[in-house]
Amino acid sequence: MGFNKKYQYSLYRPGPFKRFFLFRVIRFLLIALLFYEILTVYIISTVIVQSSSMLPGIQREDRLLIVKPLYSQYLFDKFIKIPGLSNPKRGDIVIYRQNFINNYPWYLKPVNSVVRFFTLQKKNLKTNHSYNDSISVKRIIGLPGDIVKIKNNVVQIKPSGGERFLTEFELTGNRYNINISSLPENWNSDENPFNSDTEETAVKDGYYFIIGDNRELFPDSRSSGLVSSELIKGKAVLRYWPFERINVF
Amino acid sequence: MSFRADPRSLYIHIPFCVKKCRYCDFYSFFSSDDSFIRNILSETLNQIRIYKAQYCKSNFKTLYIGGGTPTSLKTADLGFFIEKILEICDSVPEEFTIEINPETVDNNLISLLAELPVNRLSIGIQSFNSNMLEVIGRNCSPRANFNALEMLKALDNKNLSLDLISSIPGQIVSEAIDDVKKALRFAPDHISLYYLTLEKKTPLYDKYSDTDQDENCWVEAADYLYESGYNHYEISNFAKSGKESLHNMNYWRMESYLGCGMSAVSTVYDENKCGSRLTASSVPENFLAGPDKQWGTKVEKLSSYDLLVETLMMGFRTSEGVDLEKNNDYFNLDIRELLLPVIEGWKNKGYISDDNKNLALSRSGRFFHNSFMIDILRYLEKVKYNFT
Repeated sequence: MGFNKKYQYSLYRPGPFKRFFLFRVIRFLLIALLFYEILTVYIISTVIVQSSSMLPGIQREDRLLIVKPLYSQYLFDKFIKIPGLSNPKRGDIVIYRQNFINNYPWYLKPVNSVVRFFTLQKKNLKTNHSYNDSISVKRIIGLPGDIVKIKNNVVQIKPSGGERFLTEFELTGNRYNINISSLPENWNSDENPFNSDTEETAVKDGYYFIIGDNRELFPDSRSSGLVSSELIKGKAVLRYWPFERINVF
Repeated sequence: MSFRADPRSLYIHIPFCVKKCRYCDFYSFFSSDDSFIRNILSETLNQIRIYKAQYCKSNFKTLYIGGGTPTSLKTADLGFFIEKILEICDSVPEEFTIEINPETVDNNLISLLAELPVNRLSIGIQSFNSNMLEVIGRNCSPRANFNALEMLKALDNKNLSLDLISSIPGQIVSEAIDDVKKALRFAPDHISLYYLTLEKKTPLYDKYSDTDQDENCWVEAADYLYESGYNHYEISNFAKSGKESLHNMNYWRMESYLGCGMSAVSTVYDENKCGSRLTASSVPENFLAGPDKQWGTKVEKLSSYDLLVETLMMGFRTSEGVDLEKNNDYFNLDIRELLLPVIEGWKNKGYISDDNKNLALSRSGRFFHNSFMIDILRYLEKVKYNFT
């Protein structure tokens, strides 16, 4: 029983055993951290939806499974690009960081993930940059090369090479509904300076027109413009909670 | 960046309310006319754009949307408005506060806050006692206060600041402390505890000016907060370490700031160390007349002497006190030397804390801030101090 012998030998020499044990624990934790980081940042992660901006389809507190490698990923913010398995498609539900997030020190995210990992997600570096970690869940409607405009809260798209405008529903095959049930009165009147009906906008290369199904809520591409592919972090493929509303997107 | 040269704080006033509270003397009113509201907001954006180009060399460090009740706006309007502000500001400020009234908190507002880079929520709780809420005419119940706080607390990465009012007519000490205890259940990062001032021309003044207010309510509640580990960093403000309001600190340091919206106030300084206080009109027609009529703005000139007095008045409200290094340099005088007889008197009573860099009232001294300032003003008049 060689194993037992070794074990007993170690027991009788507590000093080296303890040191070795500590080394193994640290090594295990570092490997676990690396694995966790690679898994959640570059392969698969989950989100709890914080906003009602995808009503009626997705509600606040719904939990979604996000697959990352379908789209290009950017290591250390945007220094290194890993090509995606495909390009974002029209109708995809995506998670992305908002446009107005800037001045984000590149080292903050890795440091924060170490803190969160070792505190079992209880602690977050509550710097004034914390909101940079927050992500939005919305739908890609306009692809590079499209011409997009909004009329009465419905997106109209002239796809690249197309001749006429079609509605978002025609192009995505009516996969979802939008919510405009309690938009303020006269929201779409010409007198409204905040009218979100937009003129025709060409979607540039490397950019997407992203909008929530709940047209009452901002921010999205109506107010903050096109979203760069660098900010798109992954595709929502599955709602796994609540159990009774499980579905594949 | 030289002291007071460039406004780094922007206040935006939303003059609309669901219902006017009895104690409130801020400019606000109720309107159900959506297009009127949007015209005011649109003109406010215009004012921000023009003021920023005119007065600012660098980006804003703090942004504060107050009122009125900013969250009484329709969510779509508020979301669009905030996005446009951020677009004009061209950067996300270090501290971005919005005032929230509990009765306006719903799923839509929570969703909006979750996605916008607002990182400080200032919630007008005022009291958790239904009788007290009734006295001050709040359109809110204790239950609604609790519900709102529970929803807001669940948001990630937002600093919570709660407003409480103490020494309400009829309030007893245990009720005031009970309010603080209930507030502490939510572990807010910051608490503003105001002594209720009965402002003339408010319904509360008409109704209760003859009723006694128990000052001990405020004093005991303040002590309770202090003993609970909150830094009493300004007469009415308490914060966990590092969670002090940057925006308000800017006011208390008498830095320059911009205020946009109806009746909002800006203070800017020129190279002669004189100030201009600009107050936009509170008459909608005048405000909507826009930049051609300067939004009906009234301009008050501040002499260097006015500025010095205000610097002392505001500085001594805070635990940090008056920054001697910066202000001596700015006014080209020695403030400690100038005020020495008054300072010595108060120091002997143990009410002054004085290191080489800052001159401040101690925590117990700040309870006598008014008397201290009267002493200072009398002394300055007596020595006929002027800047010649």
